[in-house]
Amino acid sequence: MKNGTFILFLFCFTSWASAQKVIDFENFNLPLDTFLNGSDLKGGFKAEEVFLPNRFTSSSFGDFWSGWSISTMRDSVTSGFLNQYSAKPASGFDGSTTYAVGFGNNGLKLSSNVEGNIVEGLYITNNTYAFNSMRDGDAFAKRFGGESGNDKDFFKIVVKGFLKGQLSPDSVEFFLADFRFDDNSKDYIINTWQYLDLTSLGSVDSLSFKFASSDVGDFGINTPLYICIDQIILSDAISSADTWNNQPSIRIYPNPSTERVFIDANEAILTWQLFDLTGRLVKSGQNQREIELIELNNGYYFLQLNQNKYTITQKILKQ
Amino acid sequence: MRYLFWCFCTFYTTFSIAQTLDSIELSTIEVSALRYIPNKNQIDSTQIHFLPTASLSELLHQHTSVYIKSYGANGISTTSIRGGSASHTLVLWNGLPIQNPMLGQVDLSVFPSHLFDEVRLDLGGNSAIWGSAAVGGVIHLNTQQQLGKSIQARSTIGSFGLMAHQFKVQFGNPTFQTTIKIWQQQAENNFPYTIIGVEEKKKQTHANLQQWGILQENTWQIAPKWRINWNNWYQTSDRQIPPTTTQRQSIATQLDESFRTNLNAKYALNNTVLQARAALFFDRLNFFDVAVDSKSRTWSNIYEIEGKSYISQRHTLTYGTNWTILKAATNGYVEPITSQNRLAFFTGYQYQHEQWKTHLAIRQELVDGSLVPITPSLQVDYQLLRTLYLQGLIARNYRIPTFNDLYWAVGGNPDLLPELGWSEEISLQWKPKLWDARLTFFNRNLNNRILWQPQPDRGFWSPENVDQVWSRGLEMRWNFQQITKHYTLKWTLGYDYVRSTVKESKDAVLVGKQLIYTPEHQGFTSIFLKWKSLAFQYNHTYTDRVLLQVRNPRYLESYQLGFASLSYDWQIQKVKGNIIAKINNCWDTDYRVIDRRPMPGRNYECSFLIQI
Repeated sequence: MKNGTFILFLFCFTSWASAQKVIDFENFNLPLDTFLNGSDLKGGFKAEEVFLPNRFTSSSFGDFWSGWSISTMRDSVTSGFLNQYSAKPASGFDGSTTYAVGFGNNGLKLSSNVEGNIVEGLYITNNTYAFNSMRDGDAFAKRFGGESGNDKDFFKIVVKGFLKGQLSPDSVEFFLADFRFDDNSKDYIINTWQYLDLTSLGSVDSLSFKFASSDVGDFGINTPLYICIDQIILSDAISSADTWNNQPSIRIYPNPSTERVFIDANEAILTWQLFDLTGRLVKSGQNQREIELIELNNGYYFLQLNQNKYTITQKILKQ
Repeated sequence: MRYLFWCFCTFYTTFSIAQTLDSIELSTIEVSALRYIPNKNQIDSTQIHFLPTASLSELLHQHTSVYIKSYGANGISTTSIRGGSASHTLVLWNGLPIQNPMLGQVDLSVFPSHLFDEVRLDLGGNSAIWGSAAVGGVIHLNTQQQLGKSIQARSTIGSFGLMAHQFKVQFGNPTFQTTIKIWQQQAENNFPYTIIGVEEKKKQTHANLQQWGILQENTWQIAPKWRINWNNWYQTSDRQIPPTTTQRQSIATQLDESFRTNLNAKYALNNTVLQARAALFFDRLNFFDVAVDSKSRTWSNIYEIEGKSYISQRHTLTYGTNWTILKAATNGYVEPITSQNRLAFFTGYQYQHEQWKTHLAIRQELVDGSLVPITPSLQVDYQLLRTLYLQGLIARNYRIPTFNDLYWAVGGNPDLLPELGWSEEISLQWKPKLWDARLTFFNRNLNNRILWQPQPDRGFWSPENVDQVWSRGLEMRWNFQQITKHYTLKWTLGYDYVRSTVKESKDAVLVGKQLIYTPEHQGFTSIFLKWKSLAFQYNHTYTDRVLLQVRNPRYLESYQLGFASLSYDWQIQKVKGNIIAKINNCWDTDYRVIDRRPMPGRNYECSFLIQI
């Protein structure tokens, strides 16, 4: 189950490359171990073509917010509410510094110039507070698995798309923790960045994120309602012939390969990353047209190529 | 003459207690309010004597139908009476409220029962007499100084690291009497417990308790008509809060520290008794946990003047005023010091003639200058037959929002209204020679119930006046008592049915549902047998299952508990002694009072007392 999303991703994206825009939040230029929680009362964060709403309440005792915050916090250890801004992997996706933290059921909006485009996907993980709460329990929320370890607990996020107020027919769900297996050794809580494929939502102008958990009381979910997201991948606007003509031309060969792959592109490859099916980064580099695979185990991998304007992901098979 | 005065002042200052060691026949001094007490359910000193290390919550659980919400062996304990919440029980120490103004409730687990000479429970609403929070019932904790000299020491050892020591000394003369009680108690509470589906027993961790305190009471008989009492009570309780069964570990700790002092002056004038009182109650509560470091202090200054005039044999009038200043300092509020002024006027009129006895009470309270709706009550007692009595009570009750409800940052709601409602009850009592039986039906509606709820999309909780709660039920009691030259036998049976449901609510799902943690059925029995120097007591309680949540209903299972004690008194010349052996949870019931909070199985205590 843990790799289900990636397997889906694998078959959906097989040998399909398109022009993409990646929203990675790095342009907020936040110093490390800091966060923006909406205290500027601007009502949200504009991350290029994506707007992440925020509702902030200030008081002399403390600040309360819901919606989204932007964070570079790296504390993957400390339990409790005060560590609500840290992603469990202690960084953004792929070691980047900046990511978004969502609290409560919320959503995000696309700016008018990309309304109706497809959100191909994003990377998602637990924050440290929620992860540790599910792992250890706290005064309010249960330890997943319950007293005996056999409770069929889960914590998931359901993503839905909207276009001009119309709900997309599909929704995508992602299990941030899943203890529903008869074999308890398969139970897991996500602690790495995972790719969430959203292409099935089709054209959208906004997304909603809604939590569900097995640990529910009369006043709602007891599990801390946090997620972290990074690298929102928007498909580029496909509205004119020019756009099609401007797509980058990339060919990766041979695929499958036993030792190495070569990259043939009409634009420079600035950086590249290779991920396994669990989302773990296994190799990376820059300014290369040839990537060695010989030391890798056989299997499927995702090669993400970052050009000046585009980020392209392709599946490759090491044999 | 002086002793006669003491009798007059306190109505029942002289009485005899059964022949246990604590019950030496002595005159006693009781310090309490002069007001009328409608129902008298008293836990006598014999029963307190059998629980030398028990907290007040354990005493109430074993001897009354009060539902005690105990958060495990080392957690806080609060009450639910007649379907009310913890903040609907008013707790009085010698007639003065000791509610924490921030929380509006009292943690009964930190009060050692041996501290009090009398514990009395008034079921039902009594706001007209006692004011805010007397909605479900009132618990009276009274100390009664015994005249005379004695020194008493008691030590107790028990399961799970229980060690307790108590020391009491009293001395004086007809004009001055003082009593000092010092106690210390500690426990590991590392008891084993079972988890369904798991073979290996688990052990409670992080549950250490350290507690000590001192109570000092002084009485001066200044003149035949003048008497002054000055009481001081300090105690501290330092405890680790154990993890829940779904929590890997806990680092939570709680420190409770309190100092209470009150000065009472009582003056008798012809057919009138006047009493003036001043009190300062200070509480400190420090709670530490992951991401929580809460420190709070509260002060209650109480000034009260009241009088009672015996106009004639048939007519009695009570009247008085109470000025209370409440203050709180906590890192949870916007203001460093938050305060509230309460001014109340109250009066009562009692008429008694032949089979009739009626009592009418009215109270008007102002909170920071704003009037709380006036609260009246009327009680009528009628003797139907020689041994048959009928009693009816109708009362308006209220609860003023707590400081946390009003001022907690963020979420406090200063626009909250007081909870307000009417209660009615009717009782039939049959009192032949050896036993008495009472059947009571009660009904209570409470509007503007204050409930903390999550605020959608705002990231915090806030209290609101959300709904109307309807509580109704019946209570049955049967008491048997036979005292002969050879033995004493007492037997009590009790059963309560409580249906407490949401009548109207913004949340339609709640309507018609029983409130969470409110058992519909409760029962208890208590048997006491004394023969020569040996005494045996057994208590058995039944608590029905309770609802944990309304949506996707979950329940905590019902449970029965047994408590057995054997006591032996001895005397060598002037030295008296006593040994008590006690088994708690005799039948080793695996039970929970609060979800995910395990309770100890069978455990033992042994207590030794010596008195000179």
